[in-house]
Amino acid sequence: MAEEVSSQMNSLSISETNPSSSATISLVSGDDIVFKVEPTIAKEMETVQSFIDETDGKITTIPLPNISSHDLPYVIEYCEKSIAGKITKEFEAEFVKKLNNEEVKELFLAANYLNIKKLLDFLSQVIADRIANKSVEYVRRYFGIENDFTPEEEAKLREELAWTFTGVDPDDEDEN
Amino acid sequence: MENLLPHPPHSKKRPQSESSIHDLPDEILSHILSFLPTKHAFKTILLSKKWIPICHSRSALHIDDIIVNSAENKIHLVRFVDAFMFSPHSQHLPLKSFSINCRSQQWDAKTDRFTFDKWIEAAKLRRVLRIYLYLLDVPLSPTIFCFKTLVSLTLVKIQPDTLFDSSVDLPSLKSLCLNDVRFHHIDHFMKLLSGCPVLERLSTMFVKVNDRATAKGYFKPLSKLIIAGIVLFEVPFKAVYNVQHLNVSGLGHDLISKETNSFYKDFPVFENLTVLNLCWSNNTQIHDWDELVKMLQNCPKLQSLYIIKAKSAPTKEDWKYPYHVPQCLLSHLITCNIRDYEAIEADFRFATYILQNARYLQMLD
Repeated sequence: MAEEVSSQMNSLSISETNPSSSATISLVSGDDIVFKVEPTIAKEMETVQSFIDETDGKITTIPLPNISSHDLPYVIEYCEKSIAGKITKEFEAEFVKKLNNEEVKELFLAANYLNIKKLLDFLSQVIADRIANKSVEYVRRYFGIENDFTPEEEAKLREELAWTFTGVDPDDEDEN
Repeated sequence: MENLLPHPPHSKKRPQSESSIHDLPDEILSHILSFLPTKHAFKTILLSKKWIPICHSRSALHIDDIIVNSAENKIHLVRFVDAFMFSPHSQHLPLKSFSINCRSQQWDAKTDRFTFDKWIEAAKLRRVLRIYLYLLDVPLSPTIFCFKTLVSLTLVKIQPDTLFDSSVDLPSLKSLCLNDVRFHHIDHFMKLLSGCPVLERLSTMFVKVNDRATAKGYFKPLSKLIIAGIVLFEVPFKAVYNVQHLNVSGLGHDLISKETNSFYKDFPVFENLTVLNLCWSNNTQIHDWDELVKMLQNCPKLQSLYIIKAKSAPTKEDWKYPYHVPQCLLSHLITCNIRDYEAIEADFRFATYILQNARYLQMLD
């Protein structure tokens, strides 16, 4: 599905395509790999669709600088299933099994960037599942958060929230 | 993170631009949190200062005092809910759902009633849609029964203060569930029902009244009701006359006061009723099929009838075939199910009566 493209790719975002090839949309990942997809797939990606709409459909090559060629196939796969109405619990379970924490986060960012509501909700649930029952330290690492509380502030907050703590799972170290 | 139209890539390197989830706008982070159960979501307050307002902007607050085992713990819980309900970050945001489970002995009937009142008032300002309250031993102020936005209300183990001089206005309430709720007077309960003009689902169990004398106050039946699950002598039948689906348990006995008995037990015509579940109570004195036939006469459109007989009670043996047949048997009844059917004459006769008269019957169990 992917093909290397020449260096002219950089200027392609405003290049004209002939009407006959407008059947497919080319999505160009940040590392310059082109993925050809059906227009129905593009419709699932609000960001892409609004780009197409704004140019009256004349432009069919869309650069997606924030999305890598590693992540884009996952996004496309999910959109394809979504259009086919085949998003089942089983599919989602299989889909997420393939992804490590880093990939989940990257896909989440991609889904947010492309504005794909269903994928965003699904990945929100995945992230929520992965941080539920985990220690605060684990979640900080997971999100890359810098702790800006003083030790005293944190101790006080912890005491005040003591009634919510019913124990946490041991931190499993990230598989990355 | 920008959410504008994409720009052409400037470099061919993998473009992860050091953006991380943590840099996303608060709304997105808040969206992730909405998928976490409340107690895990609260902990995110500890992540960093940025997360405090994010946590306070949740659209649901579900509090459980399950591990509140000291006075200090309780004070912290109260302080937390205060901070959440009155947070300047969330005043403008609607709160969809508010639920409180208070079973701890730490709550005090005198002082904590004001705590709960305050939260209910805050919930009104936050335009809450759904409320669930479980308050052991702390009386509830009836101000909760004036709540414009409330769609669903569940009360468990609650003693509302007297509704004698307070009004009820629940113009949006569609679902009301009362479990182990004690009113001062039956009039107060009827007043509550009268204040729910669009109620569609009613479920009651162990609704008690200190004074069950016949309601004297003005009472309006629930004309929009679709489903009701009630216990005999808790809700009068005439209050739920318009339902399509009715479950009644605790059948099989009478009250000494004739007037009170008929206030609850008078069985109006249920014009829209299609499904009827009847369950006789275990302390039934005698099971009388006549009682049921009388009910059926007032359910002209009944399609499904489910009966659970009292196991221990004897059945009135000399049951005679009634002279006339209820309309529903002739034209609508499709399913009839009798549990704890006994091999006795009366039960056999009743089953035969149904079989002979129900023209459209497809299933008799």
